[in-house]
Amino acid sequence: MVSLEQVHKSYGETPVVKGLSLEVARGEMIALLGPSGCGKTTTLRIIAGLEHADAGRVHIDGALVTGQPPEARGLGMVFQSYAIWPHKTVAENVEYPLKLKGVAGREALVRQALGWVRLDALAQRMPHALSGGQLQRVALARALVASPKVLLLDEPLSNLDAALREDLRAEIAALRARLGTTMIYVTHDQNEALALADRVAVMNHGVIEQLAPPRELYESPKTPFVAAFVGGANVLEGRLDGADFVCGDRRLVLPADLERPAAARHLVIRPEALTVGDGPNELGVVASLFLGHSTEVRFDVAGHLMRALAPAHVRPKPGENVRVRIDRAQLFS
Amino acid sequence: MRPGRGEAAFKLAAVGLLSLLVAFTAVPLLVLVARAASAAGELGLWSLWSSPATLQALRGTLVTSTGAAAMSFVLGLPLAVLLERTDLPHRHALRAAFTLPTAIPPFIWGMGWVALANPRAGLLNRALGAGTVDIYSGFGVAFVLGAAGLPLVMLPAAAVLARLDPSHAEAARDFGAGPVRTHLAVPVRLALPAAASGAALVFLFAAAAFGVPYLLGVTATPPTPTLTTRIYAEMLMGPAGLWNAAAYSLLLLAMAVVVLLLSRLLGRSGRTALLSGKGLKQRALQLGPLRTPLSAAVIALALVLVVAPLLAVALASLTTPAGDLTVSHWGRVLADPRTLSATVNSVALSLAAAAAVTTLGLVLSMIRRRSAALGHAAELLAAWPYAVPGTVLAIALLAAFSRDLRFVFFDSFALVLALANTLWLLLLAWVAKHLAFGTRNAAEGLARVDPSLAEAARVSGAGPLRAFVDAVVPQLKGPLAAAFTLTFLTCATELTLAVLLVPPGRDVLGTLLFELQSYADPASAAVIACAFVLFVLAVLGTRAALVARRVDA
Ligand SMILES: Nc1ncnc2c1ncn2[C@@H]1O[C@H](COP(=O)(O)OP(=O)(O)OP(=O)(O)O)[C@@H](O)[C@H]1O
Ligand SMILES: [Mg+2]
Repeated sequence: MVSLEQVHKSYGETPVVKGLSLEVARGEMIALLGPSGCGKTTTLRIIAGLEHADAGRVHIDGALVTGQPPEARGLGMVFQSYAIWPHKTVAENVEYPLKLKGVAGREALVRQALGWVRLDALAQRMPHALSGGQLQRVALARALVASPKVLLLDEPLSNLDAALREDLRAEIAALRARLGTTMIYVTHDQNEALALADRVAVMNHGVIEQLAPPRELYESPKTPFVAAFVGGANVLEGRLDGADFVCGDRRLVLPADLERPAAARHLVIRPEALTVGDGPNELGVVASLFLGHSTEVRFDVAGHLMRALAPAHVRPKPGENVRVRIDRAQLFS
Repeated sequence: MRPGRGEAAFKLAAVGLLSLLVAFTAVPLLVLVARAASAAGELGLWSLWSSPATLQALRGTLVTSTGAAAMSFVLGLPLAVLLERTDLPHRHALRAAFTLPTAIPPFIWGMGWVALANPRAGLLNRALGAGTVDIYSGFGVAFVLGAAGLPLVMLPAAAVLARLDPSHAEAARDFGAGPVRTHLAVPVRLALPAAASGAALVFLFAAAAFGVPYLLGVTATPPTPTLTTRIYAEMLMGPAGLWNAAAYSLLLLAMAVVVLLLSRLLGRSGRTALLSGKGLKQRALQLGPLRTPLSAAVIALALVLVVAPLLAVALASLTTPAGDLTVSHWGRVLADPRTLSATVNSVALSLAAAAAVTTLGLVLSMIRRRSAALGHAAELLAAWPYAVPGTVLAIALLAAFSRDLRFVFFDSFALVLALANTLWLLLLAWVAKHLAFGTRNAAEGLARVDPSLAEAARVSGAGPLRAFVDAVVPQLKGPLAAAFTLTFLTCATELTLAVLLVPPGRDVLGTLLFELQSYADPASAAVIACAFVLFVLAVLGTRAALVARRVDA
């Protein structure tokens, strides 16, 4: 439905999107996930036509749209800042895309769209009298009312508080199940991405590091960055020496069954893949934080921080040396 | 469509508009310079500039403008401190009173002082004995212009004082300074650059003033001519005089440029370092036992500088020469068909100017947003006519359009631009002069509009223009309405450009006022001046009420 081929974009001398390619199937929901400044918004805006790529091609629904202005692309978009027109009522906001298309029977369509987001009762309100969550619902209705080919969402929940965020996230998922709209969803929140998307594209420095379904992304990250960003994994730099991994002046004993490519330079360990209190390694505790259901223990490994999740009753003290076993890990070059 | 095409069309349109603006605003100034230089070829520009008459006018301008600047500085800075940093009573009302002088044309303040301090019949002299005070002098010109320019010093200084970083005062207190030092010496030193920059603007305002020096200086004994009144005198001599007027204009222009640069420099030096933070509300300095005498002094000043001249004009419109009350002046003026035609012309031209200024301001600030280079050109283009003295602008337009201009396209289709001796030239001048109101307000408004509002409209299916009109322009209602009102108000009560550019036999209210006051019938002039003041107060009052309502809502 949407395809990007080798898209490049620079602002002045700074490359922001560097040869990005992406295929989105009809009805699919893709999340673009990545840290701040990695080029997510820029990519989305290139798809929308609000920004033009320096090189590369964009197809929407089989048609080449590179160079077409946004109004010719038939998309819907939800902005981080809501972008609800303050001088129009809720209903007028939602009606606007239909008005531009000259669609007949607009009133019914507006009512239907407001029904999708449960705002029927507020149709005649002015935006200044709405809450953030309601504003973002209006934005959703407005973006969906004209049956867009693709719905683009740029961090739609990031201005809302935690509880509302959960609600609206569920609502977006329900809307999608109901309408089957193709969606591209930009976020820097991995929970949002993993919960909502069919596939997640993890972006870093203007490229997609990995594009995979959430489970696969979590279970077999392709790069240390993905492992760290999606699973919150520890990433240690070093090299293999015999069967052990050497990081600075520390030598770590790895699981016996771990595949050991000779060129390995990065050791990736999830916090929950460490056993605290038993094992072949002895590490110094920097801090231990009680999280309720568990304890996060922070170790020092040759000047780097390594986090481990231990059962709640394990409470090592800072300064103590504790035995640690690495149960699972991954090595990357 | 290639991505570049829309952009190219936009650039073409923008360049077209800017060229048109250049043709009507910058080119006349170049013509002025060229004509003055060529006229000088015969006589020698230098010999004209160094003639005794020129030197006398130059001295007049320098003396009256320096006097006005000094007066506004000496009164404006203490007023700013008293109204902004102390517990003086009635600060709000006093502030409004001292701001009024900018809203009412200086000529009317001059008329007020004529009514008060005309050596024979002035109200003051009737009370104190004939000849006690004489407003017809260089001193009178400086005094009236200094009072009229007071807000130009007081408002910027007050703005600095309001936003002062409280840590400065606190630091001073920590070092053991007393309350007077912490609350007065330190803030005053910090507000000084803004006040000085304002005083430079008062100098410029006074040097550019025409109505007041004409009213008070030309008939004084000994006469105090200024560059602007010399320019007017040359203008009255017809086409031959135009080139001498151009030569005088150059002097005035050069002076304006120097002073403007100086003002910028002073203003900038003051901006550094001291305006950090949002300005927490400061504790006001308790005036203590001085509160009552200071309050009385400030109220007396407001009565003398603001209330008395306006009351004197009102009284002049309502009394016979013998001093009896009458409404016959009002009846006569209202019944005069000239009043009606002048009002119609003024209102129509001012509305047209306000509409043009607002629209152009919006378009120019759009250009600014989309192209930095073109935007810079647009900004400059809009800013300079406001800074150039009105007399110079008028002479430049007269020099450029004194003959009909023929543009022949494709050898067949001719456009004749015959602006000379029409009211169109005045409209052009008013638009050029006040363009800055439009661009400034529109640009400030635009900066506050979230760009995603327009982008949401684009994605919804609107083209760039439609998105701008539907999603952005409605957010600019406030600033655009303010630009419209300000331009309308200023043009409707404008005098200098009107007097120089309105052709014989036509009237606008400004020329009618000038003519009645100068030649024929000061009582009728007072009627029109009163109407101006009432009109200004009504518009300002309505706006204040509207703003207050918006704040409440
Ligand atoms: N108009 C612009 N001019 C110059 N640089 C820009 C512009 N827009 C974005 N950038 C830069 O491009 C980079 C990528 O920006 P982008 O907005 O795509 O990031 P993002 O991934 O959406 O980040 P965030 O999560 O913070 O929204 C950033 O470093 C940003 O500073
Ligand atoms: Mg972003």
